[in-house]
Amino acid sequence: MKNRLKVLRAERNWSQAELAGRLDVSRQAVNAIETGKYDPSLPLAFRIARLFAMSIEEIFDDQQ
Amino acid sequence: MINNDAREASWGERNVERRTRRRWALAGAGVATSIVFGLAGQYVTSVGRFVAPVSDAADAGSLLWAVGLILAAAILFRLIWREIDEVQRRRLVNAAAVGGVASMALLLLAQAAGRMLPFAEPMMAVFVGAAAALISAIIFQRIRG
Repeated sequence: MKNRLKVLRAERNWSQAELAGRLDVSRQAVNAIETGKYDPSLPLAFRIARLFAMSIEEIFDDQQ
Repeated sequence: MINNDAREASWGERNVERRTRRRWALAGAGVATSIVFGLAGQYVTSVGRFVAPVSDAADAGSLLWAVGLILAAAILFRLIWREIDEVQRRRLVNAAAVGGVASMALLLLAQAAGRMLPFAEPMMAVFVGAAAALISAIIFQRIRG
């Protein structure tokens, strides 16, 4: 699944570690989601959406 | 004010540092447990057997060691599970599956050809082989990102 996490993070000038800390996950998790190697669970997707004040659909795209 | 803003801007990184410190402490506890049980295992499987090769005390020592190791591993696993996130949990489950499959395959080999293998304790070789497979799977997934 594609996502805009890397772009949104860059817009806020956050490092992967900073984003990981704000989401209360590991930096490995942020990296795996950004590179598309891991699709987050629904609770984590909601946390990401809330952090960026967007809807899940605005961040994640299930169209391959 | 600027300091407060800077602190506010990087609270996530401080959170990650705290998590990392806790994880290193757990890793240290894991290494310490492995050393303690490794040394105790050496005693109950070789030194103790040398003193009393076949005795109830030696068998009870081996049993205590095995039960203690399983309990310690279960407690450590629980603590680690609580500390890690969903990506790391999935990797740990994958690695545990690799360890389980490896133990089944190695057990078959040890049962079929145990006497031909150069190990005094084929079952211990199965245990070590499965543990090595589990750790290798964790490292492999970590390197792949």
